[in-house]
Amino acid sequence: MAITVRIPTVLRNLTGEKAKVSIEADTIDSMIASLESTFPGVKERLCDESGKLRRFVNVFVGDEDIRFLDGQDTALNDNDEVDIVPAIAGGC
Amino acid sequence: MDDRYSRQTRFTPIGSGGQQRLEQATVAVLGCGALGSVCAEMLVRAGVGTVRLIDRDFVEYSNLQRQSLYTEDDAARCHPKATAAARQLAHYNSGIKIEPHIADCNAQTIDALLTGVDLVCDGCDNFQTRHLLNDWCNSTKTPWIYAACVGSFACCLPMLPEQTPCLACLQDELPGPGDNPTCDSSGIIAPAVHQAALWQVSWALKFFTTGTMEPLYSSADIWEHSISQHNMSKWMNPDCLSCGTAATRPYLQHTAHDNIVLCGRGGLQLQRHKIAHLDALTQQLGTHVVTSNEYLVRWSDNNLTATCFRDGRVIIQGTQDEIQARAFCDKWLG
Repeated sequence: MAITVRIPTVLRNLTGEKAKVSIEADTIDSMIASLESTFPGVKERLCDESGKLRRFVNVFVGDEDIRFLDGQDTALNDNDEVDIVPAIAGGC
Repeated sequence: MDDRYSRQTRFTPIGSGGQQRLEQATVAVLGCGALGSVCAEMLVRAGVGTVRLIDRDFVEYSNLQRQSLYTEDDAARCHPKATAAARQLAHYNSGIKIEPHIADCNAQTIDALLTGVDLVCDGCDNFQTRHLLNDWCNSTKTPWIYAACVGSFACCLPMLPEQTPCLACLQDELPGPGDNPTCDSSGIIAPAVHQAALWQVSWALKFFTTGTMEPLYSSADIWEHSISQHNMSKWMNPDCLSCGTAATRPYLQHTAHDNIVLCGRGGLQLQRHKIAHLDALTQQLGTHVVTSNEYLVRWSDNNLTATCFRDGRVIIQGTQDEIQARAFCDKWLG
């Protein structure tokens, strides 16, 4: 499936400052693998050692949080937009 | 001055009834950096009856690009943000009460700092303090509005105890050092600050007008002109440690971390005894003193800079090493 991923500011140093990337992926897991192969280092920032998404990284497919879908097995369809939203602390 | 709020009351959802409720309200702005500055200015101009400003820090030149209440003179004099903000805000609206507190918000001080407020606007720069605020707000059923910004990113989510998910429902694990971009590491542009603050103040106005807020997580990347919104109502967690049925509110119990904490700008903050005679300390520090005023004294030695406030807080810059920071404090303050 051809999908679009919105890359948060904090990861853009790994994506050559790209804010949106178009990739092929069938699930969130395969999306992470695909991002990692194109932009090495991304997976480590999103997932813990066991490959599970870190608790403070929120991933949305369209409007829905993947935790309320099938988690990292959530299936993706053509033209889906995936939003990666990390927790942000700054107020400075 | 009778028509001061006329354009706001003419806005039908607020009207004169909403304006009256605003004038009776007490709102705390916790953290008077960039977000807190912008938020406080809008609250004060809108006529919120009492605005309480809480901040532990002082103004530096690197703040001036986005912290809209401060001046070059404040930075030159290392003026504490809470009182510098209060002085500036008093020029905008003399008809309301502004209460500055130069203080660190921790498990020991939060009660005294926030008692009596109807709403807290979050201007914090770290998650530790936000989780403490979240625990306190859940224990006292006080609503608060999370807002944050970094780089060109801004976000906001209102929290209404018992009705919406709380911060601990959404985040039961704190991001570790390096997981979480800060303004020091990723920079920050002023429009991102204003975006976060405008959501925050809109919710505040709406809360006092309608009595409610919805769990909508708004986020934006100003540089990319993209905005998104997610309804977080499903996140309410009955087992949440802060708002669930068996809540322990762990951050209110914390005592150990209060002695030494990492500051937003990469310095370390230590809590020492209250300074009864700041003048005497300033004299004692002699030629090492860089700046001193009625609120604080700043001195440097051996590439370390320390700033000591009257309440006994000392911020050490130039090291991340706790032992070295403690040793520096011991050497100069005994």
